[in-house]
Amino acid sequence: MAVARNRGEGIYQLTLITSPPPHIHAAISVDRIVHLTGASLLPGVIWLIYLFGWQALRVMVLSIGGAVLTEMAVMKLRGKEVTVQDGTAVLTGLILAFTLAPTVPSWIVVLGAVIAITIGKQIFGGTGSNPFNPAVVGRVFLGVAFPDQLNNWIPPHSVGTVIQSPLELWAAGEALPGYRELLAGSTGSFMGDFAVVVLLLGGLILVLRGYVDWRVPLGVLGTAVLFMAAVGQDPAWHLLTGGVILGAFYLAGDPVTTPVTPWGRLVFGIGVGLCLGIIRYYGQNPDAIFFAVLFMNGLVPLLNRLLRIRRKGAVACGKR
Amino acid sequence: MQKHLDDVVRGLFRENPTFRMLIGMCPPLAVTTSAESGLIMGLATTAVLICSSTIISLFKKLIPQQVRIPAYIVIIATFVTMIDLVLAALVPAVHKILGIFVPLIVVNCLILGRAEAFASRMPVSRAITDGLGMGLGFTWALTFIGCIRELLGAGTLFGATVFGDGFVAWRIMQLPPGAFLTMGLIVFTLNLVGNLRARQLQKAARNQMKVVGKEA
Amino acid sequence: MREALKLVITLGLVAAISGGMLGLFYNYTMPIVEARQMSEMIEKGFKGVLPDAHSFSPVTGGQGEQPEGVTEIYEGLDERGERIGIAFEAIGQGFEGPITMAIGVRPDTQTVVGVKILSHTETPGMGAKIEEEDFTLQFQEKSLSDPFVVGKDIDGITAATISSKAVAGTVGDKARQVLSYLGYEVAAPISPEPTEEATAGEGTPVEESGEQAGKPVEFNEEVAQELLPGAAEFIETALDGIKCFEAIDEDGQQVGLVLEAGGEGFGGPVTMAVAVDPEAEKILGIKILSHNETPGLGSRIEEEEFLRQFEGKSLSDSFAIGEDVDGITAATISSEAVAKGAAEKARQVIRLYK
Repeated sequence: MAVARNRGEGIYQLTLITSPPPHIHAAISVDRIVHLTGASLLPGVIWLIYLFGWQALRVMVLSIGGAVLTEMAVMKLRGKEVTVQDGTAVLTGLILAFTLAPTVPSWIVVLGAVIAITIGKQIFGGTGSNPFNPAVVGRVFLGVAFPDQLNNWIPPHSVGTVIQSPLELWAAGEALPGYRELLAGSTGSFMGDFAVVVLLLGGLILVLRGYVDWRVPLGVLGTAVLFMAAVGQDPAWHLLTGGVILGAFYLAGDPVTTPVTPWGRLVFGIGVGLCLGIIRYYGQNPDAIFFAVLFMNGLVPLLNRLLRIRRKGAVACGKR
Repeated sequence: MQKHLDDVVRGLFRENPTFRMLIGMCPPLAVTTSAESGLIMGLATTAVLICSSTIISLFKKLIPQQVRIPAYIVIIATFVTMIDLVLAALVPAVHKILGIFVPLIVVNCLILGRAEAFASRMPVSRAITDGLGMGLGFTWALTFIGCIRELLGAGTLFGATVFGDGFVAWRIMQLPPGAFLTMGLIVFTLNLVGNLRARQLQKAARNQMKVVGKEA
Repeated sequence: MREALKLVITLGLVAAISGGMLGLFYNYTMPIVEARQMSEMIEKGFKGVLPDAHSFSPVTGGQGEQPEGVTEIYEGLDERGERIGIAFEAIGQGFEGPITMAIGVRPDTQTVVGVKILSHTETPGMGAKIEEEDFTLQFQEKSLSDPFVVGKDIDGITAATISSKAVAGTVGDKARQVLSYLGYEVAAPISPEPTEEATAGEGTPVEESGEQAGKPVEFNEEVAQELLPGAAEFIETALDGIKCFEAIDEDGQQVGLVLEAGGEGFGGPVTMAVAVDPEAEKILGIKILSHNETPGLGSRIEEEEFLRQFEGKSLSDSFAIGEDVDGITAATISSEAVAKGAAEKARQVIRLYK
């Protein structure tokens, strides 16, 4: 059923589909995935509030609130049962907040959440039907629309002195912060970058519980490491900043927007890692991870088609 | 006369080339960063469309079937080049805004599409009204997209400041993704309204049937 | 057969009529377009960048070939018909495409009078800001001996470094090239000492046509001091026939070695002074002494932006352009001459020294 939907013709035959995606996790309900993913982010939330105080809280509350209210409003308008209690909107809002700096103006945060839910999700049919990760859609929209407002990075416990992010320093060829600064979060970047360790642990838990297929983060991180090493960059440094960990587990790993087959997921992960390397290294773009995930999300239907499971002994119709 | 009027109205709304038929999509996406350039591009296309439709309709009997496409293309290209030259000579400012997109009117499938589907089968007068309707439909669509993108992307409308200094421009609207987003949302809205109206009509018709049935 | 002939004749007729119509239109519109373009260029471009000029007339002929990327050169005349400045149109490569600009220069004071962006296709809101006066006014009354480097003597536009660099580089390079093409002597960019009063009058020919190699500097203690400002004294020695200065600080400790090195550039030999730390086997600094490279291209090896990358560079590095050394665009041979020459001599000297 899942494969049929992705053969292209399915898009016009939505009424025929009985099980809504995510298809492969039939045994695990959406609720479980959302709850555990949310729980794995909680330590990060607390840590960020400790680092940035009400600024971080403001961004998270606005982002989650915007996402939830938009979801409710759009589902009402579409005449559907409002399923906001499944928590997917909360999660989208929270992850979007993790991709933003604590300095982002309130109205931009809310706009990003609205865009994420409408254009990123509901327009394609709501939970489970979105081809792109909603949080990434919102983040890329904001990044392209409001670069001046988005890229005001501040270090923790600061009173608003704007500094350059590690990747901006890197692109400008200036002295770089070391691993310790990156891990301890004394640089300036978007919020997810200050909680790299927590996100990595959370991500590993999700992988162990089988909610995120290990092939995706492995593909992303492995390819990114190989790419950066091949072009003579420090791979470890590049994994620690610019949202790579967040992207590998929480953005690329989102089961809704990854291919359905194991091979497809591995190729998908490798693709994200490769795009990340190319966009970051050659394009010198600090937001590379978001563009990489967005681009590879767009290729998921193609990967599903090319790398679908072929049953042994089955004969294709009309051939032989 | 009624038919002629219908030709014009049809192009404006029911069969609007940009929003309903989705043909000739390059200019609506590429030259609509401002309302002004959308309007000018639309008018230039309208002029080419009317001229080429007229000529093609006039000579439809003389052009053999086998070579009609090359002949149409040459006719269209001639008018496009003429308009390009006239714009460059008379309104250079406008010509500068449109740049490469004026020569590209040649490959706008709206024009060849109307030539093939309409002008080559209809009398001259109707070919002209069809060209006018389609052209103006194209024009208002481009201007509309341009308005939205200019308003959000720069805070201005036809160059005049609309929002004050406090306005933060949505840069994405002036970039290519902005064109796709705007275009998609407009088509979405139109389809939504269309569907709702169709549903209402259906309901009304059903009620009518019931009434008729009871009476019978 | 007849059928085919009919097709051919129809198409031929359509094409002929079309061609005839276009010819008519072209002949009618072209003079208007050209006249307008010329007056527009003067009105909108040249008057803005050379406001004192009373009238403009085209300049034809100069020494050598007209500099690449320069399309129109006009002279600005005062009321008595004397030349007070040069205004020209130049094209630079921006981020999205070519940037056309009008540039006004005064040969007598060797300054840029003004710059105006005529056309561009840069990203709206970012690169497009090059048209704004905030950016272009920086070039007003700017001396041609300045380096014209964004981040140094030119403030770039945030998030549009490539566009800003394109304008700054084009203005500096083309202004120098146009003046030397017209036969003026031009001060080389970033001269270490203040340039002598540029007294070059009208029509003073340059010794080597078009060429404007940097003034050769002698390899002496002064140069060594410049590279190692911390040293108190220099002792001249020679190692394997290579002239060296041993740098000694106030306590008599050896702090470095300055040696003369050379390489084969594109236009001839390049000589330079190289400061090294023999203990750490690192390069401390490089200064170009003389060269004969192409102005605006190879001559950029003199620029600090290029030379700075060698500071602190370990001699065990490969010193290969494009690998661990950023070469100057379109001047790989010149860049290589510096990188290879410096590394080779420095290694040789250090080996002997030890």
